[in-house]
Amino acid sequence: MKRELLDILACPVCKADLDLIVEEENDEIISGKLICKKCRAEYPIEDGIPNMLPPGERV
Amino acid sequence: MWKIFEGKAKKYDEWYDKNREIFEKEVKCIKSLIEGKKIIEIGVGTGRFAEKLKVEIGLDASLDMLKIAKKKLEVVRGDAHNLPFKNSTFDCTLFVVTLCFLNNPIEALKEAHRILKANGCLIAAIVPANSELGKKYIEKARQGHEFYSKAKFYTIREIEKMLEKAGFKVVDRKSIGVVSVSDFVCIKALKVE
Repeated sequence: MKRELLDILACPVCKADLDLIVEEENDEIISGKLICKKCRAEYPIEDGIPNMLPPGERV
Repeated sequence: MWKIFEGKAKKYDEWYDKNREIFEKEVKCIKSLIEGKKIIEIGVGTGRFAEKLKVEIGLDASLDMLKIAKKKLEVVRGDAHNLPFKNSTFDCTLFVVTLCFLNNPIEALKEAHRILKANGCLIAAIVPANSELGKKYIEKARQGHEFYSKAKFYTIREIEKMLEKAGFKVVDRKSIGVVSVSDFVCIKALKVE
Protein backbone atom coordinates (compact mmCIF):
# COMPACT_ATOMS: atom_id res chain seq x y z
CA MET A 1 0.00 0.00 0.00
CA LYS A 2 1.07 3.56 -0.63
CA ARG A 3 1.73 5.72 2.41
CA GLU A 4 -1.00 8.19 1.30
CA LEU A 5 -3.62 5.49 1.83
CA LEU A 6 -3.25 6.08 5.58
CA ASP A 7 -4.90 9.50 5.11
CA ILE A 8 -8.24 7.87 4.27
CA LEU A 9 -8.09 4.55 6.16
CA ALA A 10 -9.95 4.12 9.45
CA CYS A 11 -10.60 1.29 11.87
CA PRO A 12 -13.50 -0.74 10.39
CA VAL A 13 -14.90 -1.32 13.87
CA CYS A 14 -14.78 2.08 15.64
CA LYS A 15 -13.80 4.28 12.62
CA ALA A 16 -10.94 5.94 14.52
CA ASP A 17 -7.57 6.90 13.00
CA LEU A 18 -4.75 4.38 12.73
CA ASP A 19 -1.07 4.28 13.61
CA LEU A 20 1.26 2.75 11.02
CA ILE A 21 4.16 0.47 11.83
CA VAL A 22 6.32 -0.36 8.82
CA GLU A 23 8.38 -3.54 8.64
CA GLU A 24 9.34 -3.50 4.96
CA GLU A 25 9.04 -0.67 2.46
CA ASN A 26 10.33 0.13 -1.04
CA ASP A 27 8.19 2.33 -3.30
CA GLU A 28 5.25 1.20 -1.17
CA ILE A 29 4.68 -0.46 2.20
CA ILE A 30 5.11 -4.21 1.76
CA SER A 31 4.61 -5.38 5.31
CA GLY A 32 3.79 -3.95 8.69
CA LYS A 33 0.66 -3.24 10.64
CA LEU A 34 -1.99 -0.64 11.33
CA ILE A 35 -3.16 -0.14 14.91
CA CYS A 36 -6.38 1.60 15.87
CA LYS A 37 -5.68 4.63 18.07
CA LYS A 38 -8.92 4.07 19.97
CA CYS A 39 -9.73 0.36 20.30
CA ARG A 40 -6.15 -0.84 19.69
CA ALA A 41 -7.26 -3.49 17.16
CA GLU A 42 -4.37 -4.51 14.87
CA TYR A 43 -4.55 -4.90 11.10
CA PRO A 44 -1.64 -6.60 9.33
CA ILE A 45 -0.20 -5.44 6.00
CA GLU A 46 1.06 -8.40 3.98
CA ASP A 47 2.38 -8.45 0.40
CA GLY A 48 1.44 -4.77 0.18
CA ILE A 49 -2.24 -5.39 1.00
CA PRO A 50 -3.69 -4.08 4.28
CA ASN A 51 -6.04 -6.62 5.85
CA MET A 52 -8.80 -4.42 7.24
CA LEU A 53 -11.30 -7.20 7.89
CA PRO A 54 -12.72 -6.75 11.42
CA PRO A 55 -10.68 -9.00 13.76
CA GLY A 56 -13.65 -11.35 14.29
CA GLU A 57 -14.08 -11.97 10.55
CA ARG A 58 -10.58 -13.13 9.68
CA VAL A 59 -9.97 -16.75 8.80
CA MET B 1 -19.85 -15.28 1.72
CA TRP B 2 -16.55 -14.07 0.20
CA LYS B 3 -14.98 -17.42 1.00
CA ILE B 4 -16.70 -18.90 -2.08
CA PHE B 5 -14.28 -16.88 -4.22
CA GLU B 6 -11.09 -17.96 -2.46
CA GLY B 7 -8.98 -20.17 -4.71
CA LYS B 8 -11.30 -19.43 -7.67
CA ALA B 9 -10.08 -16.00 -8.72
CA LYS B 10 -8.51 -17.21 -11.97
CA LYS B 11 -11.64 -19.05 -12.98
CA TYR B 12 -13.76 -16.01 -12.11
CA ASP B 13 -11.43 -13.76 -14.08
CA GLU B 14 -11.75 -15.90 -17.23
CA TRP B 15 -15.35 -14.72 -17.66
CA TYR B 16 -14.11 -11.31 -18.83
CA ASP B 17 -12.02 -12.78 -21.65
CA LYS B 18 -14.78 -15.13 -22.75
CA ASN B 19 -17.41 -12.35 -22.72
CA ARG B 20 -15.39 -9.37 -23.91
CA GLU B 21 -18.18 -7.78 -25.92
CA ILE B 22 -20.70 -7.84 -23.05
CA PHE B 23 -18.04 -6.64 -20.63
CA GLU B 24 -17.23 -3.63 -22.81
CA LYS B 25 -20.90 -2.68 -23.08
CA GLU B 26 -21.22 -2.92 -19.30
CA VAL B 27 -18.15 -0.72 -18.77
CA LYS B 28 -19.58 1.92 -21.13
CA CYS B 29 -22.91 1.86 -19.29
CA ILE B 30 -21.29 2.46 -15.88
CA LYS B 31 -18.85 5.04 -17.26
CA SER B 32 -21.69 7.20 -18.57
CA LEU B 33 -23.00 7.64 -15.00
CA ILE B 34 -19.76 8.21 -13.06
CA GLU B 35 -19.04 11.61 -11.50
CA GLY B 36 -15.92 12.80 -9.70
CA LYS B 37 -12.39 11.48 -9.52
CA LYS B 38 -12.04 9.85 -6.12
CA ILE B 39 -13.73 6.57 -6.90
CA ILE B 40 -13.90 3.36 -4.87
CA GLU B 41 -15.24 0.01 -5.98
CA ILE B 42 -16.68 -2.23 -3.25
CA GLY B 43 -16.33 -5.87 -4.25
CA VAL B 44 -13.58 -5.06 -6.75
CA GLY B 45 -12.85 -8.74 -7.46
CA THR B 46 -9.91 -9.08 -9.87
CA GLY B 47 -10.19 -5.39 -10.80
CA ARG B 48 -11.43 -5.73 -14.38
CA PHE B 49 -14.10 -3.02 -14.14
CA ALA B 50 -11.95 -0.86 -11.84
CA GLU B 51 -9.11 -0.78 -14.36
CA LYS B 52 -11.38 0.43 -17.19
CA LEU B 53 -13.26 2.91 -15.00
CA LYS B 54 -10.17 4.60 -13.49
CA VAL B 55 -11.13 3.53 -9.97
CA GLU B 56 -8.63 4.71 -7.35
CA ILE B 57 -9.24 2.18 -4.55
CA GLY B 58 -10.64 -1.35 -4.70
CA LEU B 59 -12.03 -3.20 -1.69
CA ASP B 60 -12.74 -6.90 -1.49
CA ALA B 61 -12.80 -9.54 1.25
CA SER B 62 -11.13 -12.19 -0.91
CA LEU B 63 -7.33 -12.11 -0.79
CA ASP B 64 -7.13 -14.39 -3.82
CA MET B 65 -9.02 -11.81 -5.92
CA LEU B 66 -7.03 -8.88 -4.54
CA LYS B 67 -3.69 -10.40 -5.48
CA ILE B 68 -4.77 -10.11 -9.13
CA ALA B 69 -6.45 -6.71 -8.69
CA LYS B 70 -3.34 -5.24 -7.04
CA LYS B 71 -1.52 -5.27 -10.37
CA LYS B 72 -4.09 -2.75 -11.61
CA LEU B 73 -4.91 -0.44 -8.66
CA GLU B 74 -4.51 0.22 -4.93
CA VAL B 75 -6.43 -2.44 -3.00
CA VAL B 76 -7.67 -2.94 0.56
CA ARG B 77 -8.94 -6.18 2.06
CA GLY B 78 -12.12 -5.47 3.96
CA ASP B 79 -15.78 -6.10 4.59
CA ALA B 80 -18.45 -4.09 2.74
CA HIS B 81 -20.56 -3.98 5.93
CA ASN B 82 -17.71 -2.47 8.00
CA LEU B 83 -15.77 -0.19 5.66
CA PRO B 84 -12.26 0.80 6.81
CA PHE B 85 -12.45 4.40 5.53
CA LYS B 86 -13.04 7.80 7.09
CA ASN B 87 -16.33 9.66 6.68
CA SER B 88 -16.88 11.82 3.57
CA THR B 89 -13.87 10.54 1.64
CA PHE B 90 -15.07 9.58 -1.86
CA ASP B 91 -16.85 11.27 -4.80
CA CYS B 92 -18.23 8.02 -6.13
CA THR B 93 -18.79 4.47 -4.85
CA LEU B 94 -19.36 1.57 -7.23
CA PHE B 95 -21.02 -1.78 -6.55
CA VAL B 96 -20.74 -3.82 -9.74
CA VAL B 97 -22.79 -7.01 -9.34
CA THR B 98 -21.75 -7.07 -5.67
CA LEU B 99 -24.94 -6.37 -3.68
CA CYS B 100 -26.27 -9.83 -4.60
CA PHE B 101 -23.34 -11.45 -2.74
CA LEU B 102 -23.72 -9.50 0.52
CA ASN B 103 -25.41 -10.79 3.67
CA ASN B 104 -26.93 -7.40 4.43
CA PRO B 105 -26.97 -5.04 1.43
CA ILE B 106 -28.70 -2.21 3.34
CA GLU B 107 -25.91 -2.14 5.93
CA ALA B 108 -23.34 -2.01 3.12
CA LEU B 109 -25.23 0.86 1.43
CA LYS B 110 -25.31 2.76 4.75
CA GLU B 111 -21.55 2.35 5.01
CA ALA B 112 -21.13 3.53 1.40
CA HIS B 113 -23.26 6.56 2.34
CA ARG B 114 -20.97 7.32 5.28
CA ILE B 115 -17.75 7.29 3.22
CA LEU B 116 -19.21 9.44 0.40
CA LYS B 117 -18.84 13.20 0.36
CA ALA B 118 -22.03 15.33 0.39
CA ASN B 119 -23.73 14.96 -3.00
CA GLY B 120 -21.40 12.08 -3.81
CA CYS B 121 -22.83 9.38 -6.03
CA LEU B 122 -23.30 5.67 -5.75
CA ILE B 123 -23.65 3.45 -8.79
CA ALA B 124 -25.14 0.01 -8.25
CA ALA B 125 -24.90 -2.30 -11.26
CA ILE B 126 -27.22 -5.28 -10.88
CA VAL B 127 -28.63 -8.21 -12.79
CA PRO B 128 -32.33 -7.87 -11.83
CA ALA B 129 -33.94 -11.01 -10.44
CA ASN B 130 -36.83 -10.69 -12.90
CA SER B 131 -34.69 -10.02 -16.00
CA GLU B 132 -34.06 -12.82 -18.50
CA LEU B 133 -30.41 -13.07 -17.46
CA GLY B 134 -31.40 -12.95 -13.78
CA LYS B 135 -33.78 -15.87 -14.32
CA LYS B 136 -30.99 -17.77 -16.07
CA TYR B 137 -28.63 -17.17 -13.13
CA ILE B 138 -31.29 -18.21 -10.60
CA GLU B 139 -31.81 -21.43 -12.55
CA LYS B 140 -28.05 -22.05 -12.55
CA ALA B 141 -28.07 -21.39 -8.80
CA ARG B 142 -30.75 -24.06 -8.34
CA GLN B 143 -28.48 -26.49 -10.16
CA GLY B 144 -25.73 -25.69 -7.66
CA HIS B 145 -23.56 -23.20 -9.60
CA GLU B 146 -20.57 -22.45 -7.37
CA PHE B 147 -21.01 -18.64 -7.37
CA TYR B 148 -24.67 -18.01 -8.21
CA SER B 149 -25.95 -20.49 -5.63
CA LYS B 150 -24.55 -18.14 -2.96
CA ALA B 151 -26.13 -15.04 -4.49
CA LYS B 152 -29.48 -13.43 -3.79
CA PHE B 153 -30.73 -11.52 -6.82
CA TYR B 154 -32.99 -8.49 -6.32
CA THR B 155 -35.36 -6.54 -8.54
CA ILE B 156 -34.65 -2.91 -9.47
CA ARG B 157 -37.45 -1.81 -7.14
CA GLU B 158 -35.97 -3.76 -4.21
CA ILE B 159 -32.54 -2.18 -4.72
CA GLU B 160 -34.02 1.31 -5.08
CA LYS B 161 -35.95 0.85 -1.82
CA MET B 162 -32.73 -0.19 -0.07
CA LEU B 163 -30.95 2.88 -1.46
CA GLU B 164 -33.69 5.15 -0.14
CA LYS B 165 -33.51 3.49 3.29
CA ALA B 166 -29.76 4.09 3.34
CA GLY B 167 -30.22 7.82 2.70
CA PHE B 168 -29.83 8.03 -1.08
CA LYS B 169 -31.95 9.59 -3.81
CA VAL B 170 -32.13 7.62 -7.06
CA VAL B 171 -31.45 10.04 -9.92
CA ASP B 172 -30.76 7.95 -13.00
CA ARG B 173 -30.96 4.45 -14.38
CA LYS B 174 -29.41 2.92 -17.50
CA SER B 175 -29.51 -0.60 -18.78
CA ILE B 176 -28.13 -2.84 -21.48
CA GLY B 177 -29.27 -6.13 -22.89
CA VAL B 178 -27.28 -9.35 -22.67
CA VAL B 179 -29.68 -12.19 -23.48
CA SER B 180 -32.67 -9.82 -23.49
CA VAL B 181 -33.26 -6.09 -22.85
CA SER B 182 -32.44 -4.69 -19.40
CA ASP B 183 -30.33 -7.59 -18.13
CA PHE B 184 -27.64 -5.36 -16.67
CA VAL B 185 -28.99 -2.28 -14.92
CA CYS B 186 -26.97 0.60 -13.49
CA ILE B 187 -28.77 2.66 -10.85
CA LYS B 188 -27.29 6.01 -9.91
CA ALA B 189 -28.12 7.54 -6.53
CA LEU B 190 -26.93 10.65 -4.68
CA LYS B 191 -26.11 11.14 -1.02
CA VAL B 192 -28.76 13.65 -0.04
CA GLU B 193 -29.02 13.33 3.76
